[in-house]
Amino acid sequence: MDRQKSQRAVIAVALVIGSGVVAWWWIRPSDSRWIERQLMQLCRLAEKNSEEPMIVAARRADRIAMMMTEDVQLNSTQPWAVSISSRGEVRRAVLETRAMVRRLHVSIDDLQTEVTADRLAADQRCTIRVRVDGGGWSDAQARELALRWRREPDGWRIATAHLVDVIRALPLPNRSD
Amino acid sequence: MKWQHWVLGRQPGRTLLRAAALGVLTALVGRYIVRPFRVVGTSMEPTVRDGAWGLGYVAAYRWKEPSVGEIVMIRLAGDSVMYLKRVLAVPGETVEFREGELWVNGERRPEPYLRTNGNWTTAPVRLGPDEYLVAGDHRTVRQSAHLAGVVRRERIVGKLWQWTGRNLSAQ
Repeated sequence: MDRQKSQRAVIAVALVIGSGVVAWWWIRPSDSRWIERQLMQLCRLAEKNSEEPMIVAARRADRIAMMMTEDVQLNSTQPWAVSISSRGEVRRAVLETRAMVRRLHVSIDDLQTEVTADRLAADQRCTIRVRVDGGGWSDAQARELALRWRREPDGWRIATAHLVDVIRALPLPNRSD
Repeated sequence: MKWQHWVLGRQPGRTLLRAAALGVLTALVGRYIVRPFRVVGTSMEPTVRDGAWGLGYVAAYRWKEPSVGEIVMIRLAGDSVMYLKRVLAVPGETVEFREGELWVNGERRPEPYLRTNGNWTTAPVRLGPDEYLVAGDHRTVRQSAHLAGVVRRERIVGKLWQWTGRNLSAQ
């Protein structure tokens, strides 16, 4: 009976310690895990499932913009031509996009994050899939996304982002005027 | 005890070992030889339809290079989501589209798998030593709406082997 009691006590202590380690790991994640969670949160904020009041759209646009640095650079050529160089432009672009679409779904696959040795920056690569329903038109795209995060005094922020040209489009013919 | 015998057999340990071995083998085959996937999108229609299920032969290019006409799998950031495109030209060739027709090294290259050619027109480009020209079979969409162009060899990770809804008489 004593032996059983002590066995149970050992198991209970091991469970408590194990739970404590897991909880500590979850509450205090590594930089890369923290950054990955930020990106997932960004995707959730970007999604739109139904019509929304202007104030909700504005709040989401603000939260998305605040996840970027003040001088953020966002660039892509295809399929969506984007050239953004400030948080304010991010806010405007998000508001305009949300006004144009009825539904927007974003998902992330194959996410890889590498924090620099000095822990002041991190590079991230992933496949981003976007499905858009504009009410009368719809589009779905998958692209490779490259992000650079920067550690700011108030946390990690996206400094640059661009879509990788996995398939480089052929140039159009030269036109002589 | 009857249902346990039915599920695990007379020797549960051996059954579990066999199940584990089968799981490992399936994982290895799926990772290194043949990988199932589902097609999303109309880029390869009518050859491969949206929603079709397929098997990709990921060991196809371990010992040989992609050839013209083959439908290949193109990796993005990882293996979960890939592009499915047809190889139209190989390294060293000069390629262009003229009103929907593919021209390679100054000669028209027939594309018997196309139902309609479309009207794409591009400037000529010489492919580098590790570059391939790829495009989907759905050419009736406008050029800017179809992802087609030059891809580096390192991105091509396999070949389409089998798929549902395949019209064997058209191959």
